[in-house]
Amino acid sequence: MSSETARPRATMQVTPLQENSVRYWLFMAAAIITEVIGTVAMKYGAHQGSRAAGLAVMFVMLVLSYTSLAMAIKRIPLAVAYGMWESLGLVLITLCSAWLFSEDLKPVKLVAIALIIGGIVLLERGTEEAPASIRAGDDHAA
Amino acid sequence: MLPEFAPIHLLYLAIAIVLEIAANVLMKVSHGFTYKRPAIAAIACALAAFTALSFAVRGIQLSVAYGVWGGVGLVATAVLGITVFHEHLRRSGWLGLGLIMVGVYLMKFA
Repeated sequence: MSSETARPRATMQVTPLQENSVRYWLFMAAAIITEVIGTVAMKYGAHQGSRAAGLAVMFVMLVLSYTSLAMAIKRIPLAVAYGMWESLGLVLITLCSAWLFSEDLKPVKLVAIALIIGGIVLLERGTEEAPASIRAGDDHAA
Repeated sequence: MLPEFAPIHLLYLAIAIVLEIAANVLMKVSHGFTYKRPAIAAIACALAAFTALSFAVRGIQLSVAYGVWGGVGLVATAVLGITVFHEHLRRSGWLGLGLIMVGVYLMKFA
């Protein structure tokens, strides 16, 4: 009896870190997928004359997306999460637009997307938070 | 650009960008969703931004509108971060800003 109860506890202790990180990356993936579904539904609604339905789906998806983003950044740095959310969202939405709405995928557009993604990554990594002293000063002034 | 393109669609895109900047700034103020009120305000702004975007995509391709919206929003947020929130950009950050601007330009006029 005691050995049965001890066993799951032991496995919990061995892999808490791995379990947690996988969970937060799944939240990240969910945030991106719901964002893409919402945006595509919005465009679909706008062109099929059922704008309200498209917007309704988009609102639900975006609230889900922000909620999972908020869960993800408990463990993933905000800069990394936000950059991924924007850049992977841009790639998937461009691919879905080409596939579903027969928008063009000219080489110039692909180069532009590559530049924007590179820029997002560099911008997120190259931003430093204000020193704590300055932020504290702001609080005193306010 | 779609056949129905009209200047009004650019106006909708501009409104979407302004709302996106507000959402990003509120997100920063919420310190990664730690403070609930700015976080909720950020989500509300983002939802409004996407609504404006839905008007813009009647005349502008979704991929172009989304790329320009995200790119300009990030650049403006970074500029606000430097001027208002005293953030500092390393050299890679400036390079990133430049790349985004070139990318948005190509996206828009490709």
